[in-house]
Amino acid sequence: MSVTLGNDKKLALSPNVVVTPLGEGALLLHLDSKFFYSINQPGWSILQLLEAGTTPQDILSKCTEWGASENDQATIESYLSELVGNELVGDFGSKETGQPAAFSGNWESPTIERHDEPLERIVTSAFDPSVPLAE
Amino acid sequence: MTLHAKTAQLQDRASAPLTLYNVTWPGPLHLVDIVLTGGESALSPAKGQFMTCARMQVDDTERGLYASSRSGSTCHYLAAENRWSITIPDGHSDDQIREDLVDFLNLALTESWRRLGWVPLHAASITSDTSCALLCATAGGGKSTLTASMIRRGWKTLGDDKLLLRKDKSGDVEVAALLHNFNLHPRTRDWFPEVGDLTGLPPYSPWTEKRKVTIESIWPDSTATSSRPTHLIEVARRPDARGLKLAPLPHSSVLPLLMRQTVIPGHPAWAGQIMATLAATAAGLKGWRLEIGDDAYEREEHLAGLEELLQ
Repeated sequence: MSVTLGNDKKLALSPNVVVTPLGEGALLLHLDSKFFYSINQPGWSILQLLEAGTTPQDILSKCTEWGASENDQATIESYLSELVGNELVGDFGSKETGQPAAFSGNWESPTIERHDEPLERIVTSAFDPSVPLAE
Repeated sequence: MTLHAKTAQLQDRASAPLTLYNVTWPGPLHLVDIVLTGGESALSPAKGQFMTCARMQVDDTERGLYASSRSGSTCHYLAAENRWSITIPDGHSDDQIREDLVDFLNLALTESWRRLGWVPLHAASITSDTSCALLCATAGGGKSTLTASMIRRGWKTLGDDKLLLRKDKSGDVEVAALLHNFNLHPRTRDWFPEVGDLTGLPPYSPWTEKRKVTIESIWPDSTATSSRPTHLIEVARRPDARGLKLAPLPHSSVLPLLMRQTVIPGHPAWAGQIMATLAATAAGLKGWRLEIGDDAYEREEHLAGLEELLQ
């Protein structure tokens, strides 16, 4: 699913996604699919905007404030499309967040990398996350 | 934990798995009340939105967690009363009762630990005065034998299977022991003769040849109850390889490896708490991948490299 930056439809982070800051970026865990994703620092800054809920238009203007140029629009659009396509972000309604989104340093393209192997959907027991052995 | 069972049989069946947790907890204590009854369970099966296990599904309901087993037993956590209510249908076989109780008690224990800020971790651990390594492997991947081999070199262990992790108020990460038992394969004796003949003991489950033994009965003064983790080691058996092979694990792989050692329920608040603890742990760990060849324990010098790296 692709997202266009001119769109004024509000997007927000899925309530079933857990975000954990990691280094300068963050790690996203989708509790339904069990897939997890690494995002870099600009990606994390954009995601903080999405935690509260915002439009692609507003994201673009904020990224421009943070140092993105016209040439970066395609990568921002592609990043948002990945978030929406993986159901990490969508029409989920806005919520209160602790602190405003921020970015410091030189702007680079936001990236998202899906880890190949999701966590197990069916586990052995409440204490053992491994694949159950065949009985 | 207090157990109130309708019958002596249920009381015995429920007590047995709990006695395995043989590490004395220093406190603070948190009372968990468990009530076991028989009869027909009138409740419908859970869907598994909170957790799906091999034989058990768990939902998060308005009243608290609700779990049902494949065999029709049910378990309800009444959060307001802090009570777990387990119903085992009459007529279940001994095996079914044992399996259901183990699943439900594991759920009650892990949920209680989470409520106290601990994250259950499926891993082994070895510790010295200066370092503490968490050992991760799949079932049969060699955690227990590696742990035993390091004990023989003077290391202590927090256990070979079940640990707890938490971030304390100062932000430091602590790992704590729950069980001072080992699950050892009888052929461990080939490498470590002091283990003795384990074949006379019953296998601890129908799915494995391993036997459960108390660690101190074989290696006195070899257990510890808590430590600060410094290393994470991904252990893999490589029957085609010789000795031990060590390679650094990229730091970006440390958190994903930790995530695969714990059950993360489908509940955003719990999942967030677990992920925060795992991320804080990962930040302070050096990661290594260790491949264990079939002859790894035949010569003491094979372990020297690992020991040097951990010091």
